[in-house]
Amino acid sequence: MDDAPAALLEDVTKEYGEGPSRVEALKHVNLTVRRGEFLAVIGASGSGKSTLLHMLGCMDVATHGKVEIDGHPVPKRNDSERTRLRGEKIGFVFQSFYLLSDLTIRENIELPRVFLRRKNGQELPTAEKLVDMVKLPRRLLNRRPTQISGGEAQRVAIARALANDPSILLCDEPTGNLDTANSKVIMDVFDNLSKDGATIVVVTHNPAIADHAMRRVSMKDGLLSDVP
Amino acid sequence: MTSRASIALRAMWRQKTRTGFVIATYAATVAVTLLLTSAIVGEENYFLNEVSTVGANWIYVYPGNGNSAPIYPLTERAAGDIARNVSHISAVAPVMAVGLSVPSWGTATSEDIVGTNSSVQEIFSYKVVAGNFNLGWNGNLSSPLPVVMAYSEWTDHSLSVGQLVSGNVVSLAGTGISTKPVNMIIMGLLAPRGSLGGTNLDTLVFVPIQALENLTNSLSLTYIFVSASNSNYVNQVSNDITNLMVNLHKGYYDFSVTSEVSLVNLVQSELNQFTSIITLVEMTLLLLSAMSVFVVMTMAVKDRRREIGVMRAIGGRRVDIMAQFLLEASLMSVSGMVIGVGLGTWVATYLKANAGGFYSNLLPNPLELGSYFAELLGILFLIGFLFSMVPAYQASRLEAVEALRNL
Repeated sequence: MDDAPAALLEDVTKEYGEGPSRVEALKHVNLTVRRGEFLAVIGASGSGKSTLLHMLGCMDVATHGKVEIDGHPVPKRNDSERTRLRGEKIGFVFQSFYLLSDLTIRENIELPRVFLRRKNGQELPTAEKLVDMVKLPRRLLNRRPTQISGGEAQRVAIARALANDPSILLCDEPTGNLDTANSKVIMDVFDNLSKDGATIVVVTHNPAIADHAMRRVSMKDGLLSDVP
Repeated sequence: MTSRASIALRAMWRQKTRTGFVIATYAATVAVTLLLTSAIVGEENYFLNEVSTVGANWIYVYPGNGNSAPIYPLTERAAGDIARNVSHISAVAPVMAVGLSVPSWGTATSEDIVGTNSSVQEIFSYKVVAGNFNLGWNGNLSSPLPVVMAYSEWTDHSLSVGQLVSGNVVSLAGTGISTKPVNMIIMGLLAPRGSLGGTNLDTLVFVPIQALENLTNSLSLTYIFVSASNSNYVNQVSNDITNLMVNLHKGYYDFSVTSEVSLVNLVQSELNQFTSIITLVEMTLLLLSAMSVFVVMTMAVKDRRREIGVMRAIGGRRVDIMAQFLLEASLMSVSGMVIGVGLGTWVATYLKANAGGFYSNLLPNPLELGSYFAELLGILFLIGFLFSMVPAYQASRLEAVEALRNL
């Protein structure tokens, strides 16, 4: 599995609906995300880039084609196995952060481990180390999401996504709800993570954000193409 | 370390009103259930304990049959006929009870004078602590009347036990059975016997029945107590007494024959009917509690779609989501049950200590309530658990994409 790409999509098609209302959100998409790669997926709203992200994140299944994460085929029918794969291999960063307001920052960061079944005895990073990685002061660990800024909340969300030491970090418009200054901070975090060898896929419609990536691909009407 | 329990507790704390509603419903249900159970079991224990303290195998005959007044009085002749003609009996005690106020007897302020014979000792297992149970009488009303009574009635009296039974004559003022005070001589003192069917057996003063008949100028008995020689003969002896009494009363069934067994059965039957009604009430409360957790958990699932979506996205399987919501429901119900047990115990203890009467038989300790209460708690938890499975299942069916998209 060490030689396998972080993620692989082979001739993936995703259809919604049936008959006349049938929509092809992804059309015969082929994509290989190499380990340590920082990939940007750009495209307009409705182009299919979020669907692509959901395929990579095992949150949805392809109508046709094959999806592999870290060398593991994503099962189409077994939701439990797909969720386990997601919990172990994928870290999600959402546009709206989606931190749980009842929990402290520490508890939010550690939340994925509540559902983690096994990690082959691998030691996972502590909450302190994770906040260090996203350049957040440790004193925030005992605060609540309502007590921190939007930029800090997104960095907490990134720390949470890294909690299970995932093979790939999937980010859906991670700066979409942030101002320019905070967007820059977040992209600096991604740059640093990328330098440290993390595999990152960022979905964005902002070309400035995409410029941080090593490689860019574009989605349009469900079709994927490389951007030179 | 973040755990499912801490997530559940935080969610419960956030939804304080709803959580409080469920906990209060469960607490009230359990407290009421505990009180009702405590009352039923307490009453049953009280009665059975009273019966068990009395000698076994007893049968008693009394005038009237519950539907009509007696045509013929109960007489000593009937008691004699029973003793002579009915097989498998060990003792027969005719009883004439007369209410009496005895203001001059130390702390004993109210006694019942009971004319009877020494057989009553065997029938009710009285134990003599001083003197003897001799109720023999020479037929001379000018002589002191021999009496036997409970020693406990004399605890504050200036006379010692020895002095009481040494032949001292006690003057009984205002007897109500004679215009003049009756002199009595204490023949025996009895160990405490407790009560039976609300009658305190320790306030009875036994005198020879013939003496009481002479004093009252009456031959009507209040009861005839009979003891069967063996519990296997109780029904047979009861039937034989009934047949004999019908003959004596010229074919009229104007009396009642009741045994310890039938009394126990009667009381248990009435308690069972009462228990059925109580169980219905308890089950209704149980269902209301279960409905409360169902409604609250359904609302929680609706309000927490984003949380469910996030949990699903970061690796929470359907079974994890379901377990999370079931854990919350269980924590709420168990919290309510614990509070309810505490509240019910406190109220039962308070009532038992302060209210008196019926409440004095309450069993406040839930551990003494036996399997019935434990089963009710188990059913309450199970129904709540089953009801909360519906919203928990609905939560578990939410897909991450769907839950996060519909925000």
